[in-house]
Amino acid sequence: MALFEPELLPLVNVIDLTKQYNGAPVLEGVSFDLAEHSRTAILGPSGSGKTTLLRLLAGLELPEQGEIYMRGQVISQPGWARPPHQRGMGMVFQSPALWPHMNVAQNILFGLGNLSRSSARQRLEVVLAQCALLGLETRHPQHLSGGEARRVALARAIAPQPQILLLDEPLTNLDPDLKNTLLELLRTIASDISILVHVTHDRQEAEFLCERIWTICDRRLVADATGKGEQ
Amino acid sequence: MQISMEKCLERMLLLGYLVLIAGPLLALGWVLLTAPVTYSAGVALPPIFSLRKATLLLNSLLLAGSVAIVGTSIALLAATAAAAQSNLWQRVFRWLLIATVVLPPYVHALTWTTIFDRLNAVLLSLGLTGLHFHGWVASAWVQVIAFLPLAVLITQAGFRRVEEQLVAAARTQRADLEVLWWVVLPLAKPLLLAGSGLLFLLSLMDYSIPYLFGKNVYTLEVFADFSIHNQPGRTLMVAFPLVGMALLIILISFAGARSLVVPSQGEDHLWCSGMSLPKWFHYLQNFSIIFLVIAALAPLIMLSALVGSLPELIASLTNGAPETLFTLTTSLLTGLICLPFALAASRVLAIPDRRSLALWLITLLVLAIPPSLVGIGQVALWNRSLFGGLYGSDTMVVLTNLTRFMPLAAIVLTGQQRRTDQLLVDATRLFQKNTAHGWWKIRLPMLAPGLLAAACLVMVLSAGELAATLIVIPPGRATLTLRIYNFIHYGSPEAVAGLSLALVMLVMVTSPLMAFLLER
Repeated sequence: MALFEPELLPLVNVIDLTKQYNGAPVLEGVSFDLAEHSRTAILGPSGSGKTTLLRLLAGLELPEQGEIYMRGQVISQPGWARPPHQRGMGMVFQSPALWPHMNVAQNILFGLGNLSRSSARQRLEVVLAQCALLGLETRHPQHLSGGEARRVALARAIAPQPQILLLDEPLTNLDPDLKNTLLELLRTIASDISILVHVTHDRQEAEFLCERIWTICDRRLVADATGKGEQ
Repeated sequence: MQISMEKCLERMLLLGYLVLIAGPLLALGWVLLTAPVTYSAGVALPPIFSLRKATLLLNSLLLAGSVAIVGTSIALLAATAAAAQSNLWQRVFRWLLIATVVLPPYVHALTWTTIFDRLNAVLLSLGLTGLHFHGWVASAWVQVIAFLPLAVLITQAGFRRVEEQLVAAARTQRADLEVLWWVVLPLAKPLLLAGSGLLFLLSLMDYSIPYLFGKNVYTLEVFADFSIHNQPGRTLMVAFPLVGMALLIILISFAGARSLVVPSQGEDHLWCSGMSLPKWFHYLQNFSIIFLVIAALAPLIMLSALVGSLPELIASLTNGAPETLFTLTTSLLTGLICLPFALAASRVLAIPDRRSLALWLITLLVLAIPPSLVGIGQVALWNRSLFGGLYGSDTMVVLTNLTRFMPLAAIVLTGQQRRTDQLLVDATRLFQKNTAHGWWKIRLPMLAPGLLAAACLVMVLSAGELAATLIVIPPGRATLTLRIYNFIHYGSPEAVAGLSLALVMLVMVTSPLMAFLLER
């Protein structure tokens, strides 16, 4: 269903989104736009619905109310959602969530299923180099350090060259040095991505990575008090 | 070096576990070493070599393989279909599974024989040819139906170990069917393989169903050899090829279960919410669910038709009361007695070291022993003056069931031990008044789901045990299983329908309670 002229619109429109778990509302009437080449951070305390919002964007959850549009096409509405793999979105989760039965290369190659074998290998090499993972291709997740596992998770998310990258607190439980290294890596990688949505409860992290900050407050998304959230 | 009371008790229980499961086999080995095996006149080869036996073994392996493959495939489809349903639907489904898992295979045999008899009567009255429900196909059909609920329950347990985030990460990159194939199934593989191996084993060790349908399998050969020659050592040699093949399959299928460390999510199948799968896959899923529902309801409907009237039902129940009581008592006792021993064993099995590996091998080896041989081993072990009047008493039935099914209880409890958070155990040790207080208030409640599941599994399997019980049961006694089987075997289905129906109804009524307790 095309609602607007695509070229006049932001890439993603979220309209009046509501999500409940077992009858308890987690998000209510959330609306926002994501323009191309934007970096957006979403702040909020634990349990405020930040992860739920990302999962709704990714198509991993269905809304009870409201719609999500991408280039004017509805991609989520009550009872229906475009499958997650058809949305052009990559996601990094709170834990690395690496598949334990696959090695590093296989984890990254999984999302490159529609490329030819040689193209996929080429892309793998690029991503491995970008994320400083060369030499770790044959290692399994259980033999990676915490930092390496996070970098593999990031490499896996960016390998299919998504338009939108969703980051769900990917730097939690890391020591400060490792966190800073990964933040630098994220900023470099973010320059190749059209839209970045970064969920965190660390304001410094949000300000370092994003030009726009929103906060989830009482199940609603509000512009951050610093004024960074003004659209 | 001072050993704590807890350690001392644990070691005693572990010793008890080893004696109960491996004792009969060791006793048979001793008999083989001390009493020379005699062959028929002019026969130079040991009794394990003959073309007939090789054919029997091959047939048995093919039957068991078919049952395992078909059963696992249907179980996978049914489990994925159930996972996507609402909580209420899932509860009904679990009740149906638990209700049917308890039904012994020969009740299904009676049901399906009756169904085909009636169907053939209709076909013949229409001038058509009747369907032939006999032989290998009938055996495989009944065994698949009988073991399917267990396979589905194990598959669901495997799916419960799949972490939602791992699936979500995959779903952002590939279609859901590919995610199912490349991520969900490999993650659930250890339990899926174990379930498949268990199906293979149950089929391989069961001679009752093929025999009812006019086919011989290797386990029957083991029993027949002992009946003819009465030489335990010789029977042990006859059983060697079967034990070897069974052990090989078990080692392959249970290898993953040993290293299973992924914790349970505690909630059902979060990973599958919102998955969109192709239509043809949905058709297969629907077929598997219909198959399961028919398998569950057919015994109830057909047995009701066979019983005829209420007075006939009451008469058969009254006649079968002593056997019913005996079966309930022995299976309940087996289920309860096995728990402390299996718990002690599971504490060793849960730690990945050499001692654990040795215990795993012994545990799996016992599962590979044909039931008849277990019975013969019990006689060889306990029929000694040292053990007084144990041989020939009702206790022999309990001991036999313990040998056969306690290893499975230990495996179930090992899974529960691995899911227990070590920090909680450390905290308990820090704050408990004494060891007993810590166990009673914290550790047993944490282990309760595993204990209940293990006890239920052992009780169910004990109630349906036939081949080993046949050898050890005291004169004048009979289990419900024996009575039903004898009636079926001697062609008196009406007489047995009442008893079977009572069993089905008892199970249908109590299974929601069991399902509820298992959920807790």
